[in-house]
Amino acid sequence: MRYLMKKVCIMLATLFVISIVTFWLFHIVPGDPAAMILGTSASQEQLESLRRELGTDRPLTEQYINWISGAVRGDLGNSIKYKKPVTTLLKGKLPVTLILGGMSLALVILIGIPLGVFTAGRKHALSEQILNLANIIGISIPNFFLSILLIWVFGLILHWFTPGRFVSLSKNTAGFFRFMIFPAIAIAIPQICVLSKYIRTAVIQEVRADYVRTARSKGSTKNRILYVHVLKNAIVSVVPLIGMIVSSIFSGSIVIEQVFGIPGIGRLLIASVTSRDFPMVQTLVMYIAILILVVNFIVDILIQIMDPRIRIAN
Amino acid sequence: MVKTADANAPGSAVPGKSSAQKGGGLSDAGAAVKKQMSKVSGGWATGDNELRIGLILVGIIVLLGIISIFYTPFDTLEMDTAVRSQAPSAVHLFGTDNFGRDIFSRTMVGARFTLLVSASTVLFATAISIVLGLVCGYVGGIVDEVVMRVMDAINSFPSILIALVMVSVLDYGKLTIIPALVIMFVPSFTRIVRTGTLQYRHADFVLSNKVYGDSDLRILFVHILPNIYPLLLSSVVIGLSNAILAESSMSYLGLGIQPPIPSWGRMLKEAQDIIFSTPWAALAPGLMIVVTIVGLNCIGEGIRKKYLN
Repeated sequence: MRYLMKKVCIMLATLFVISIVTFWLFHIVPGDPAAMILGTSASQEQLESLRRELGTDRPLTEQYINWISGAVRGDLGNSIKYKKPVTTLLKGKLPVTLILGGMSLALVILIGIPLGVFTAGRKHALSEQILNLANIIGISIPNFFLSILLIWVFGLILHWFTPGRFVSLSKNTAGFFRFMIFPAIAIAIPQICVLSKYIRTAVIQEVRADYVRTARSKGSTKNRILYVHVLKNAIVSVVPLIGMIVSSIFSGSIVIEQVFGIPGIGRLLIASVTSRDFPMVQTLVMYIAILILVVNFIVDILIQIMDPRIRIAN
Repeated sequence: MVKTADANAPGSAVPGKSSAQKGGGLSDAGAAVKKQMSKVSGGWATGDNELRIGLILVGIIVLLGIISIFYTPFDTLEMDTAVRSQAPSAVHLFGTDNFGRDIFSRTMVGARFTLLVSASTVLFATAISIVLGLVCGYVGGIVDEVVMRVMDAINSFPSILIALVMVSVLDYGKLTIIPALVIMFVPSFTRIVRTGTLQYRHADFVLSNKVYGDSDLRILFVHILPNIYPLLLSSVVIGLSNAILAESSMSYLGLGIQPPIPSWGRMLKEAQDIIFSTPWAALAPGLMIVVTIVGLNCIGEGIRKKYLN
């Protein structure tokens, strides 16, 4: 419990630091948002009144406090480009990205872990060499190139889905998943390679442990030892990786949403960056930071639950 | 070492030859183990095969990039409507795109700029990280704590997000992509240098140099740093492959290398809409990226196996 409290405090402190840095970064930028909205033809008076309206004429600390207190109440400011509250723009986009990320993560875990154990059990076999090669290519292929290939093969040649035509979840659930599985695969493949490689290393190390010899001497089959006894211990050592994988999945989803034309927060983020819509970018960065921190928090708790050795050490 | 490597090349796996080993930095026992490993795996365990494959692949790409400074088969911007969307042929090795531009020439020039941007990114990041890592590892205390916490925070963020924030803050120009990407690589490199420094800080040779009266700076850069090189080098090479991935992602998003300079990422973006009619327009730059990254990963892995096991 004390450990939990400590973690929550650290998380809030990190969030605070990130919010200051993000805010500060976007306010040292040369360029006046008021001038950007009104264009070059605006008069001095118009500029000043808009600045007053936006609050950009006040000192930085005051602006920061306003922003944060608004954010806590759920008011994240207005987008410069769309001239709408950021929260309205985010509605409907966040779930799409979260589902995409969730699907990718599920694929990574459901395929990466068994694959890692499978390859670990067959050292020096031909299948291992082939998988090794596939692994190298999987890590090396940029996910947006992979997506383009998926669109080409499954969308245009095999017609399994219609590229560029996003199906919304509420209108057509089956169609939504049918569409989303391809971007999820594109995001997942590089991560599957990373995870299975780590699992493989962890399993190979675990196999030398005494309990494996014991299990073997009492007559357990090789597969039972690998998938029941060894895997349990190997998984513990790769749980910390999950945080990193989730962060990579987010990275992937920012780009992949662009490739497949999925209206999620990644696409919104890119649009905001290109149009220099700073309040929007700022908010999206904070959103993603919170998500990442929460995932890391869950991972920390998971490690505690899964490994009694660490629980006792704390 | 080198002799072992040659004897165990994929084609000439004659186990007897590997005994013709001279010199090398390994003790006899270590050499024997390595030799044994080579025999079993045909050179994969020592990392020699990886190094060789990697150097060949990366060498080809670098060579294409260098040649592109002096010569490309066609002008990269010249649009020739007579040869629009042509499949690969003897004249146009990788075919032409929907504007009639020669894709091979464009991938050559793309190689040059992608490699330049990625290499300078990694170079700057390495320079910053060496200073930060050495100082953190050697001085320790509160400096170390603060710097490393900041590094952890940066590292936990999705890398593309950091690059995006930097690009939007830095007002994207031709080379904004470089500082934007540098930040992505500083944390991991710093960690490596710092760990290495910690490892050698109390080593006997460092202590003896201290007694000898060497300044801290001299100890750091002349005595400690060279010991970290192999580890750093393998990470830098893998970092380079990540830099290429990141650069091409950013270019794909339209935030990397700006037109009219061709870049692999943007070529892919432009080819995406025409992939059904002219798949080679996407395959050429895509495969270039894959080849480069496979090559770099092989080199990194090879260095790691050869010098760090």
